[in-house]
Amino acid sequence: MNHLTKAQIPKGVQDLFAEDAACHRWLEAHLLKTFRTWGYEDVIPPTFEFFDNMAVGLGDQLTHAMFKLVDSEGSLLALRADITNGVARILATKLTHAPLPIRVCYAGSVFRQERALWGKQREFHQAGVELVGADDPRADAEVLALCLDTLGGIGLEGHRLNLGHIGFFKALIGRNEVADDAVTELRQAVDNRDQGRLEELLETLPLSPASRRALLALPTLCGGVDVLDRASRLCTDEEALKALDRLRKIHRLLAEFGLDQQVLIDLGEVKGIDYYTGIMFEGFVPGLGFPVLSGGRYDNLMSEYGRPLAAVGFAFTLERLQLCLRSQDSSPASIPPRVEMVVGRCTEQEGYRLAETLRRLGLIVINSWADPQTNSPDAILRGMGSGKFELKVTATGRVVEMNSDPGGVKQILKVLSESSSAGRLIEKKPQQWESLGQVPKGK
Amino acid sequence: MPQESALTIALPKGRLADKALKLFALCGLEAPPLKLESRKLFFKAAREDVRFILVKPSDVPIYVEYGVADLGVAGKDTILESGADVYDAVDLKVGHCRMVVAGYEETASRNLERRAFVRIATKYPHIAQNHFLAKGLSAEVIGLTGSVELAPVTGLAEQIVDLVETGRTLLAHGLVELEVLFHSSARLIVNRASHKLKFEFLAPLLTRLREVVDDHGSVG
Repeated sequence: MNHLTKAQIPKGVQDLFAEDAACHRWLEAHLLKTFRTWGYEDVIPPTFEFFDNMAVGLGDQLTHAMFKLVDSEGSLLALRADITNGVARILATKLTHAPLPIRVCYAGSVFRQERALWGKQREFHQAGVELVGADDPRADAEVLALCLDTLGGIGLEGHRLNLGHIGFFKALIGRNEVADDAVTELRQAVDNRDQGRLEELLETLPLSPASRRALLALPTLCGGVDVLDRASRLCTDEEALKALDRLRKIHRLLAEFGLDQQVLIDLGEVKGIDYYTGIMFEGFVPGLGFPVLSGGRYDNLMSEYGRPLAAVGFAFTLERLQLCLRSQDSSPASIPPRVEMVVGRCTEQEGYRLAETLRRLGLIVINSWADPQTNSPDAILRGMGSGKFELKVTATGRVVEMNSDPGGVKQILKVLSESSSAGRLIEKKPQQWESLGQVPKGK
Repeated sequence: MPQESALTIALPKGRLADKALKLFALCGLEAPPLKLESRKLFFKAAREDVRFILVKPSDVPIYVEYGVADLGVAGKDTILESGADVYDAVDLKVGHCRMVVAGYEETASRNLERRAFVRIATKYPHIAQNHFLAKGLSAEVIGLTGSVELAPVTGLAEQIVDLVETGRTLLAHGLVELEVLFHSSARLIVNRASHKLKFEFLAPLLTRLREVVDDHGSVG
């Protein structure tokens, strides 16, 4: 390493500030808010745990990518490379009396020693849900619908989920004597849609002609619900047909929800974390070449922690959602107007009371001692003496004088909402102010 | 949102671009002929919503992985070396060659296995490193950008990993192919997100391209 400068931070972590930090917090809050409206309750697993408990079901690649540490007792610990494991452990060992199914949501950072890929660095942030103790196709449909609801709710457009089922692939190779290495290679070839390589590999494996035919077709089994019919005709394996039937049921539910147009069935999607046993899905947003979310069903992971329960879940990558918002130019419109308070010829008490009232109504009010102002406010409130204040809107230069009483407060909100720069940022519309009730004890 | 082309295709500068354009033309995506001396890096197909970009061949997989281009044309060697996570959707069956380990006859692996240090010169350091690691050999991979055959001749490395079309260059330097790592050809690669988001547009195009390749065999 070259000489360490004071500005330097390790590869793969980043400082967030200004709009980026605000957007990150807003996104996290919005995602959790949406999850909660569907009945998902917060769970906060630790950031690091024992390596052995953390690595369950993650597979070689992710386990390899984990940051490991040794504590003073010599225990091998790991920073979480995935949050689902920690949640599964809590649900299996702590929340044992909660009625099923259990719905939980979480948000937090995840650490992986991988190359940075479009916002996903060595530390990145996930927000997701787990629906545990439900084997019903309606559970699968619920989490898929929740993904779409969340994406729509943050103002994104044109997004789409792709939906596959790892059980279909596993069934096709399942009852044959195929070595693990060969399965990994086969999975890779299907995942890359590399038909030539797939043919090469299949020639060397002891598979039935029907399985071989179905596996060869996998890379192109992608599209609408008709894909499932095409796939059904290609195979006779009972488990494989069960997987297809499951997808059919989920698709029917999504159609009833009016969401089927936003879901693409893709049986060639066989890559994912090792613990997946059923459906697997990813979410894509126009303008971004990488998925913004991924998820799936994992019916065996909970039993690894001692409580066999079916489960399904997903996680968003916040950094990627943030990049989508930037590229679709739809920044979250929830930053309240910034008002600078110059006490001026009024008393400190008068200034403080008015600021307090406005803050309780959700505005940002910044105390100002210096002239000229440096906080680039949307408006400046200046004390004119005898309890009177003057509001100057930065964008328009409009000046209004008012008293620091409830009537004056309403006037301030009205003027700000009419100004194009500050108004679009006011979350609550004027007609809602009345329902805010009495302005809190302003003097 | 800025007005975007329905489809962006990354082509590798050079001979392969012409061959690829012929294939695309047969799929209904005609484009004006490329002028060699032209410095234009962008051009549109006859249908206005499809644009081509011309990039350095080894950069094609990166443009496609990042989704800046939806599709790209790249050799299998380039795709593997880049490590890009893209769909290798259609074998265009042009630009055939093979990735080999080559060296003087006496450096064949039976002789090397007993040696602690092996130096490998190559323009494909990732492919070479992965190959030797999988065999349990910690080879010292020396990345070069050209004339790799010179390495054994000058004593820089015992062996080379390089792309070979006819094998004549190796022969001229007294080198022999010791091992074939894989056979390479030009591929149509697809960005994962584009594959899902533009599926209705892409699926027929990929099907058509496969038909064209099968019907025409090698083009030009």
